[in-house]
Amino acid sequence: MSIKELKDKRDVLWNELHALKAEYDPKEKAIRDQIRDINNTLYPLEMSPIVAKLEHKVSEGKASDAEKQKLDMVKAHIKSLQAP
Amino acid sequence: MATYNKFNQAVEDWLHGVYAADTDQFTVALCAAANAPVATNTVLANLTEISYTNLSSRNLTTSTSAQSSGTYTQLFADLTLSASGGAAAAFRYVVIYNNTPASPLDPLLCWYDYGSDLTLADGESLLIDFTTSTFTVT
Repeated sequence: MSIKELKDKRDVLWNELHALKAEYDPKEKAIRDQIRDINNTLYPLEMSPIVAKLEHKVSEGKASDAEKQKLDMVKAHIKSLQAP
Repeated sequence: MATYNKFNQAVEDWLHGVYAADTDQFTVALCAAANAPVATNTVLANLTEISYTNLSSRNLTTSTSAQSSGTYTQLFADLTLSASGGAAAAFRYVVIYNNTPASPLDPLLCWYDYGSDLTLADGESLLIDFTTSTFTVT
């Protein structure tokens, strides 16, 4: 095949790919948007007992620097998820 | 503290569109000391997993999947693995793979080495603490 023929064939395939994605991508996005919402709701719930445990350690003066950093990060992230 | 290890193929999979890291289903796989993962493994089928009888859910919740100042960070919510109804099989390696893609099927992301086999008796739990980041791209 010549360079032109190869590029023409590639253009056809790209167009097929674009058509497939035009049909599929919106459906995938709709599902992923729901998953993302669930993850954002789940995270504070799943981390709640860990936050409580870390806060207790901090209050007792027994938390390591890494644990304090983690607590700050988790609380900041939860706050960002709850922001309007 | 467990040692973090990366599967080489993961970076290519990321950039070749295999991953949608913020919403794909990431799952933990467990391997015994005798079946160590290696960096050249690519998919879950390359590994020998333990039996998951009596073990709680291994699915992870993605909490952070975003860039800041050009550095991307992915972080999962900590996962508590619990044994119930009996003991869980011993494991040393905690592997994270992507359970969503069909081709490749179950690509591997990374693994943690706990140094020796861990055992969970009935009623015992292991907290997998992801600290402040699991995977970064700069």
